[in-house]
Amino acid sequence: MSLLQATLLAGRLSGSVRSTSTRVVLGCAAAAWVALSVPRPGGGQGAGEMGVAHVHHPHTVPPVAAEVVDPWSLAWIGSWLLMVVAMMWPLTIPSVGAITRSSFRGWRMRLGVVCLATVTILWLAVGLAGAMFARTLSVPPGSVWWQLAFVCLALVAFRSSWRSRVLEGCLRLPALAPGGRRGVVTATRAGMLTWRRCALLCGPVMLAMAIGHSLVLMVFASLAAWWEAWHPRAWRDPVPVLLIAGAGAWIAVAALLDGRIGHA
Amino acid sequence: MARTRHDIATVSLGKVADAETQAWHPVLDTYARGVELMRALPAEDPESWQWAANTHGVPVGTPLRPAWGQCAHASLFFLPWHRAYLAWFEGTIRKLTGDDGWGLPYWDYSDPDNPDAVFLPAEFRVPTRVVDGEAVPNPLFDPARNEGPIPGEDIDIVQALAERRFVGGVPDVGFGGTDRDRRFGDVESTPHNWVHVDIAGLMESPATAGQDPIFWLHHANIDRLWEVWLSLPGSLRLTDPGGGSAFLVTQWQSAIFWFGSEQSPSTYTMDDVEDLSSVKMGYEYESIELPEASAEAIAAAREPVPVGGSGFPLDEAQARWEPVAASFNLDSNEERDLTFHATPRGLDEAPPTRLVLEFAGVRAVVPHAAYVVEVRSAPDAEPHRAGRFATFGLAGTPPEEERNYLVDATEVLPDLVAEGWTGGQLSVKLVPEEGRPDSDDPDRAIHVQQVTVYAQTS
Repeated sequence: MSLLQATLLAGRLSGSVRSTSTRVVLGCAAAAWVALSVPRPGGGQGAGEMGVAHVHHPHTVPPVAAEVVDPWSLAWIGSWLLMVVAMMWPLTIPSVGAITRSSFRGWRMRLGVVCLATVTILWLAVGLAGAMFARTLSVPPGSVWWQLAFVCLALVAFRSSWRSRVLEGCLRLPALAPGGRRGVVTATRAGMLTWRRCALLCGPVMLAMAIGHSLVLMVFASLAAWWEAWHPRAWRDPVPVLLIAGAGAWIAVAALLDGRIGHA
Repeated sequence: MARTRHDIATVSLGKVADAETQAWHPVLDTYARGVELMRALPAEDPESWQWAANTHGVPVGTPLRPAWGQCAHASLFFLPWHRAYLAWFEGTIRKLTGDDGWGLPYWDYSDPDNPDAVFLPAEFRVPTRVVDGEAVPNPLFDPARNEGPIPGEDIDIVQALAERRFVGGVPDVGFGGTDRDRRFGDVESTPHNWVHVDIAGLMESPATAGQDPIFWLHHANIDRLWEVWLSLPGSLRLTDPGGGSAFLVTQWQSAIFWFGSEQSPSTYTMDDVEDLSSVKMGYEYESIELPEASAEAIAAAREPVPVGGSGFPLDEAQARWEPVAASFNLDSNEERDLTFHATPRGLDEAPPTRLVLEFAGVRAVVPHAAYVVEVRSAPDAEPHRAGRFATFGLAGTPPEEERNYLVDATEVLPDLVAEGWTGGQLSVKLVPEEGRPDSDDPDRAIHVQQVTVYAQTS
């Protein structure tokens, strides 16, 4: 990239955050990143030790105590929501912008919030389902195998021609009513479509983190999803693939060095 | 090697009787042979006619493949996608015919200096042609088409070429598209959509249009109009400063179009597409000069380039627009009063400088080819013709397929104001356009999910 191109891009980027809705969404996402990055008492980042419960397996002799994810704990829900705000909210900016521009003045903020709330609730539901599934399988928090399995699934999905086609289609929003009950309904529909796009972009990696995660995976997954969202027609773009593969390699190497592979 | 895409008028025999009995110009002869060779291949072959057509759209009920049904209509990528698509198709014809110098001709139906331009070229109107002294079926012929003339209003290129921006917002669209999908850019609305519905037959639907040999010449002309627009002083490309947001520019620059086999597709980057002299394009148009009358009309209609800059950045330009009224579930031929939502600006205090109506989420099973939008300042007032739109994209596609149409009603604003209109409400009605073969067909209709009135105040 030449200096001229970089200057132009910087100018456009600064222009892109001029709208209030974009600033609010990015501000919330930045705050969530900070919250997730703050070390917790007892070690680890905020998101790394999501709601852990001690479960006793009554049929195991002798009884053993194993740690599993507790998706109904406030800690898990709080961490998961922070993750959604940090990683997924930036992906909603085009939709929220379109909604606010299509709305009557008095409805702009409200309908934008409806869209964001829809995306967040759907992600919460998916996260809860993923964590419940992990709990059913007695997957321990931070399981390396669980994370690697979903990272591999994400890498396979990148090769799918259908995924590329659906991603292109997901850019389309329905007719957006400018206010009233219909405005709420169409903003909800827009939120659902936006969520579908987010899920296609990084659903498997989000599920990988349903049992806890490292900040590294979160950063790499976010960069991959944001990159792909900004380059939706880049056919078989290697950048997000390399980012996700890099995250997978990091998890595997870190686990090997810690001696966790084989025990997790 | 730069190949020339010729104006069909310079390579056509001109008269139907001659096209049926005389030898064709090599450009059209190669095209006809190429179409025949492609049609002889099975649909599963990426070099076949059916594959090429299905890449654009597939008839309802056809099992879809990832490489099929890609047409980028009502999208920012309408022009670049079709440019790459044509280049890929052109390459197939060259490969199958062995004519490496062949270039796809274009049909300039808007040429005011050629009175025959509004008719289908003669070579596309004859069921047979003569090859080696024998009459053989003409692969360029399709009996289902209208042969013309195409009405002048449908192929008027002034409004599209007068638009300075490549990309606009909603409701003020640009030459090539908008910053939101599902909206037609100016050149896609007129002449593109109108020519499709005027020719009818296979051309009437995006699902089948690629099967008609005239489709490719029509799109070559649309592609040429892009070059014409670029050559006009003051045209603001998406990638120019102020031309679009960082998000749109990144989307644009990183786009890669792919055609053919899913396993080993032919790919075209935006750099390839934007440079006609690139290896993957390698063509030039016989002419991108406008006839004098058209050039003058466009220059007069074009917004002047602001002193010291390119004008409002896109987001600021959009901020000057506001939705002021909306209504839902309107059927064609049904009149609806739209009550205006109070705005801080108060339209009664400051009449809008521009007024645009959006018909969003339009669906149909069998639509009329075109609709006229009538507005009244009050239910008992005289109707004014605010604008019109062609329904290309609704016919021949699944009933759940949706399109959005924007109609600029600014021209009737003085009439409305003269009647004492204060912006409190507006009556809107969609009626089938008169004078068309389907105008009186009672079984055709469209359903509009949402009508929105946008106003711009100074």
